Formats: sequence, C-alpha cells, structure tokens
Amino acid sequence: MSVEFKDYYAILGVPRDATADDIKKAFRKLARKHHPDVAKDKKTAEEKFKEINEAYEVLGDPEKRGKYDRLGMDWQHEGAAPPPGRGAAAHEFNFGGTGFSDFFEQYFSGASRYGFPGGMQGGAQARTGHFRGNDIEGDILVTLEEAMHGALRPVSLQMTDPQTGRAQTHTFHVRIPPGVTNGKRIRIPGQGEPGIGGGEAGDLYLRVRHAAHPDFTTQGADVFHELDIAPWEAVLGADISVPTLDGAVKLRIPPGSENGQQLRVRGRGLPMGKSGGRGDFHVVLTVQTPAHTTDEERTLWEKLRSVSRFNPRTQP
Amino acid sequence: MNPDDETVYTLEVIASISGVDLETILHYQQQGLIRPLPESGNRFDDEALRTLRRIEHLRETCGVNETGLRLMLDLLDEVERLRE
Repeated sequence: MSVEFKDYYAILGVPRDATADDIKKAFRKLARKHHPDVAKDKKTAEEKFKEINEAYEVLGDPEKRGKYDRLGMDWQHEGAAPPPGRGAAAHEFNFGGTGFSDFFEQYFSGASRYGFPGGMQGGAQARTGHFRGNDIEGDILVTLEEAMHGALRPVSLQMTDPQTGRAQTHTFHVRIPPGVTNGKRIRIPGQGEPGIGGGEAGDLYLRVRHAAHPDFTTQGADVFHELDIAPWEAVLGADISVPTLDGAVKLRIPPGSENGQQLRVRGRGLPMGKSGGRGDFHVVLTVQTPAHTTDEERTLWEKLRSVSRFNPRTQP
Repeated sequence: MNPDDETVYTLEVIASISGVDLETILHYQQQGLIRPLPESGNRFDDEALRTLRRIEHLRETCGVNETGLRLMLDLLDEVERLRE
C-alpha cells in the first residue's frame, strides 16, 4: 500500500528545530482559525482541522516526534522499516473516515490485529470447521464537541483478501457515545476480518483519541482550560467570561489568586454514562505579564514598586 | 438518530457474545482478569469483552495457564502503552 508522506512541520508552519512551546502555540493559532465550529467553510475547515490535529498529535509528543524525525530521513529510501503491528497479516487493511491519514495509520496508530482463525472458542470451532475471523483494532479521532454531544461517524475499512487479491470496502457508521473518554475502545460487531468456513466475522475495535483542542484538554470526564489573566486581575480579583464546551460561564477570580491556581466549575465537564452526571470544568490560572509598557504604565509600575512591601523571596 | 450512551452488557449478554460460559467469566472476574464497570451492578463494557476474547485466545490456542495469562495480559498492556 503506498501512502503519502505528511510533512507535519509544514502543516503547522514551524521549522524542524521548533521548541515544544513553539509547536503548541502554532497548533493553537491554527486550530482556532480552522475549528469547524467557527470557520465559515465547514467542510474545508474540518479537513484542515484534522490535518492540524494529526500533526500536533505527532509533533506535540516528544516520543512520536523523535520517531517521525527518524522516519522522515528514511522516507525516500527503499526498504524503510515496515510499520509496527502489520508483520504477518493475513489481510491487508486500510481505514477511512477515522480522522487520521493513511500515513498516520501506518506509522503512529495502534492499528493491529490479534488472534488466529480458530483462536476463539478453539475447541468447538475446530470440531465444526467454522472459524471466527480476527478482530481488528484502530484509532478514531473524536473532537471534544463530538465527545460532549455524541455523534455518528461514517468509517470505511478496506481489506485485501490475499487469496483472491481483491480489495473490498465496507462502509458503516460508528456511534460515538456522549461522554466517551480518551483511550476508550468502541466495538463495532462483525466489522473485523471475515470468518472461515462460514464462521462469523471478527469485530472492529476503535480506540478513541480526543482531538487536541485549542482551548481545552481532558482527563477522564474532567475538562481543563488555561485562562490567561493580568497581574492586577490576580491581585484584585475579577469576573471573567470563560468558554466551556457548552457555552460560556461567568467565573469569579478571587483576589490574591496565584499563577497555576485551579478553579473548579462543578458539572460542566463531559457527560458520564447513563447516570446523567458530568465531570467538572477546571480553570487553570496563568498570570501573564505585559511584553510592552507605555511610559504611563511604567510610571505606575515604578510607583507600585516604591510603595509595595511585597517581596516574593521573603514570603513564608 | 441520536447516539445512545455507551454500550454495557450484563453477564449473560457478554457470555452470549463471547461464547464463554457464565461460570468461566465469573471465575475470571474472581481472579481479577476482567472487571465489571464500577457501580454498574456487574455490567461490562467493550473493553471487558476485548479482554475476554484475548484471554480465550491465549488459553485455547496458545494453551496458556492462569499464571501465564496474567503475565501475558500485563505484557500486552505494556506493549500497548509503549506504542501509544
């Protein structure tokens, strides 16, 4: 199977020696611009958003980035290392609609199969001559909006039968349940490899990968948001409108807040199963200092320096 | 069509889907090889079904005993973590 090499650095518009922080900033800027919820041309934006996400999934992870950098050098050479987990495959297979490109699927996803025909309930199957097909596993990119509300996603799976050499494509819908957490596996019955001798087909397991979001991260059903605040907002307190996955909330920053302090909004995270409960929304305060100051601002800071008795190095 | 909440299976349903009998599943559960969802009244998710299929494959085809099963499941999880 030939796949197109993806230049993730070019996609994010960063040089190959970009720092982790540069990569994060570039991702956030592009993800905000192309987020399907805000862009005018939704179809194009969605494709672009997936591409940016995939690039960040790899470049934002030091291990994957290292692997990608090594792979990039070998890409044009024949006999490049075979992708992991596809060694002695009985069938070739190729996903579509999972939100990841073929390139990502081959080199970075957990796509794999396990088991041999007859492996499941082996004794009974061996006696009847019916063998259940192998299960297949892959990844599916799910946006936080999809995780919030649930979704139906068309996915296609192309398999080449080594005996006939014919490629067959199955297209089906995958139900993304509301509140699905990162790493959760969704089982699609009967969409694995075909059985042998009239045995039933294996299942397809898709592991959910939350798409990186410019504003939010998740941990289980809890959602986290980094909120930049001015030094005077940290000191004096402030009322700030903060975005969540289902609309903005008014948040009161208490006076004397510190950098890195977390504020919790109960029940504004992802849904949690049938209970109707929801995770929490955590706001992480990040105190920003102004990069430039006007003469008037500088005068005020200098005045503050002269009258303040605050010394951060002598605090208990 | 609205997506429903996540799929959960009773012991009977997971036994029927996997073809593994109830007593065997309960035994695996007692041994801590598969776990029901917390506070679910002994219901299982797709992850448990996948683990059950792995166990049966290792036991039936590879002839692995229970001590080996535990070790191999841990190793398979470790491999997956490393590949992520």
